[in-house]
Amino acid sequence: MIVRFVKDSLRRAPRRKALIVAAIAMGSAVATSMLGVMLSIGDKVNRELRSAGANIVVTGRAASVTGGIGNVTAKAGTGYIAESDIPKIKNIFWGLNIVGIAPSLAAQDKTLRVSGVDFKALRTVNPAWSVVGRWAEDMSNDCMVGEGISQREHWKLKQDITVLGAPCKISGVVSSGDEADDQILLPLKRVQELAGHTGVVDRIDVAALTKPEDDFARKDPRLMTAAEFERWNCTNYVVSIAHEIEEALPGTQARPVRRVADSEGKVLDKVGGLMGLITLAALFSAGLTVWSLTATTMIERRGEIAIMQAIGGSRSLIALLLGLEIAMVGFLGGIVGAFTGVGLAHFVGQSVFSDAIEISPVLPFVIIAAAVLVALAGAAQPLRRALLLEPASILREGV
Amino acid sequence: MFIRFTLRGLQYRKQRLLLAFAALAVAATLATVLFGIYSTVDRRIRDEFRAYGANLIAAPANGTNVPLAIVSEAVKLGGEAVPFLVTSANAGNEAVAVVAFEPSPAATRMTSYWHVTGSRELSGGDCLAGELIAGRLGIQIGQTIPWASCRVKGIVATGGAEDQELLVPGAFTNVASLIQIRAPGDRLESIRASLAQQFPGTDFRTVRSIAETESGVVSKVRAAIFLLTIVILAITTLCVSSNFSEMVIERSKEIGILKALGAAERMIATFFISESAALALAATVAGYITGIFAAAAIGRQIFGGVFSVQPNAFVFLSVAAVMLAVATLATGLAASRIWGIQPAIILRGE
Repeated sequence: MIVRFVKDSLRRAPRRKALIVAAIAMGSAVATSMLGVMLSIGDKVNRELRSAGANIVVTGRAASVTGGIGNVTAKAGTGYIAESDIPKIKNIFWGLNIVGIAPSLAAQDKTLRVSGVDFKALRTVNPAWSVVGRWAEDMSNDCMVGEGISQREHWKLKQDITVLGAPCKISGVVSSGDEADDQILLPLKRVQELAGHTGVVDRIDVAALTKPEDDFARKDPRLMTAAEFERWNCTNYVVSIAHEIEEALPGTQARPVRRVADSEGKVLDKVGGLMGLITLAALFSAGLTVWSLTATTMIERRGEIAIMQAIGGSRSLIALLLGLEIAMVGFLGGIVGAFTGVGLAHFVGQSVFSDAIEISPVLPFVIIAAAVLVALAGAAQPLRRALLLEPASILREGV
Repeated sequence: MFIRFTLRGLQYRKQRLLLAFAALAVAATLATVLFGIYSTVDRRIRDEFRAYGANLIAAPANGTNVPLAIVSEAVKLGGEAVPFLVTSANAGNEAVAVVAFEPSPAATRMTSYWHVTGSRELSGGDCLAGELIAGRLGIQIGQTIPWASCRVKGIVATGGAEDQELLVPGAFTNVASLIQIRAPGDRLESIRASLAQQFPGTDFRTVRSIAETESGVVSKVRAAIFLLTIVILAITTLCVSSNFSEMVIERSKEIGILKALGAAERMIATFFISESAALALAATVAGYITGIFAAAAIGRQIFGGVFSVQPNAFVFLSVAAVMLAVATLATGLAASRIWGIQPAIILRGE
């Protein structure tokens, strides 16, 4: 009989039911798309923040990193890193979070600062650099010069210059706003040959996707218990990733580039807070929509409930029947909404970040369950009220 | 008579009206809060980007100096500027870069990413040693460095050029080696152009990595919030409109009686619509007030700063306009039924 009741009632007033299902579907779609976007926006913004450059710099231990403000440099030290060791960086626990590895070797040509680089890697780590002309090829006689140095030496694009005794053609002028503007960039291999340091580099710039630092991250790893250290090591803080790189490449020093690493933590925290807030607002409004809808529907059906009571239906049976009906409507609306919501989330991800959003397959099911629960919750109070009233007084109002 | 109708109506249909009022008040609160967030998200995120420090560098185009006047000019244009003077000192068999700067609050803000062990409160005769230099030359905190005649108050670690330098406090006369400038992200280009025009002998370099990242993140987050806000508001107005049209539909009996008594359809429709409008207005006011308090609390919670309730006429009017439009439109559309209602049929109970 229960089945017959529910089937019958679903068939009656189909337009009304369809509207209710549609409204529940919309609420579920909002909830799904919000949660979908919120849960992945952190990752998306993190990737966006990588255009700020490397957040970890690796140098040989006790080496000096050439470079400095203005035209004064410290002497190049003797700490070198074997080029063959570089791929080991990709093999650390957080290897998949490393989005760029740019090795370089510094050299001096009298007063000119030269840097041997892997152009493709350098471009990956510094996508924001602006280049007039084009990026140099790694296996070629090309070189790139910084805007500052080319102005001072009066060099032009496509000009042939001599660096470290060998000719090269300027393929592009870099304007970055940092050290590269005062350097000549040559392919790494050439500098290694010309400076007589084959097979080594003295600096690796690493761009990694990290988690903002909190108090736990700042603890000294040497003072941690084994369990704490495990947790610290397995979280992608910039300091733990740097630590892992040092372990993978013995004899090196891996340090966070504070200007980039600290700041991105702050930005990520704020964006996360903002998104969480908006999601809460959305979930609340979606929940309210569904709640008020089922509450209204239940108020309207007081007459029906009164009649069922009058002909002898027990309160629990009526509650069960109506509850089932609402659950089914909620379930249907939830399914339609959840999958529409997944589509909406992908749409937002694609249009804003030009990248697919990864949605956990659990999410739609959680939303469907929530839709059913909220629908039932909304109907609960009016239903209870209606059941407690005398059928006669309700029926006298007019069905 | 209108008023009597309305007030009596309110009396008898409290529960129903309360639901509609709540739905619209919630919608108004949400709209106010979201409006508030959207309009300030730009500034809030750009504020966080100040942690990255300088986004514009004034470097010598030819020669070795830049005029100090750039600092005051940059400040006048709305930015912050910190000059640095670079010299060299001989530490035994090694040349070390010595960088002088004025330890002002502006300098501290510009270099907030410096990790200093010890203290960065510098007065004359103090200095900060870069981490790598300190390691190589065995410099400790509290030590006096003979070749630079200063006492080391702290060790600086940044992962950048500072780790190789000795940082000392200094006063400036009229030149600097370079000037780090932080310009508001949205006006970076115009400030750069203005400074370049005024100081032709200086190279003003945009720090691309910071500038691009800032505009990229701000525009993307703003777009995401905008899209999501539209979705949220669409759903809430749906809820509101369904509530309001319900209110008309369920009063079909009343409409039947009014028509039987001789009321013109137009008058009935006007009556319903003005009832809805009044309710909508009341709910909007309630919602707006709740909204600005909520926005202030949120602002304080997430972004820090003070709890400041900021009533804004433009926001209120926009929210009110939208809510009124939705309520009256929904009521109006539902009210179109009034013409089709036949009193005899409806009163018979069909």
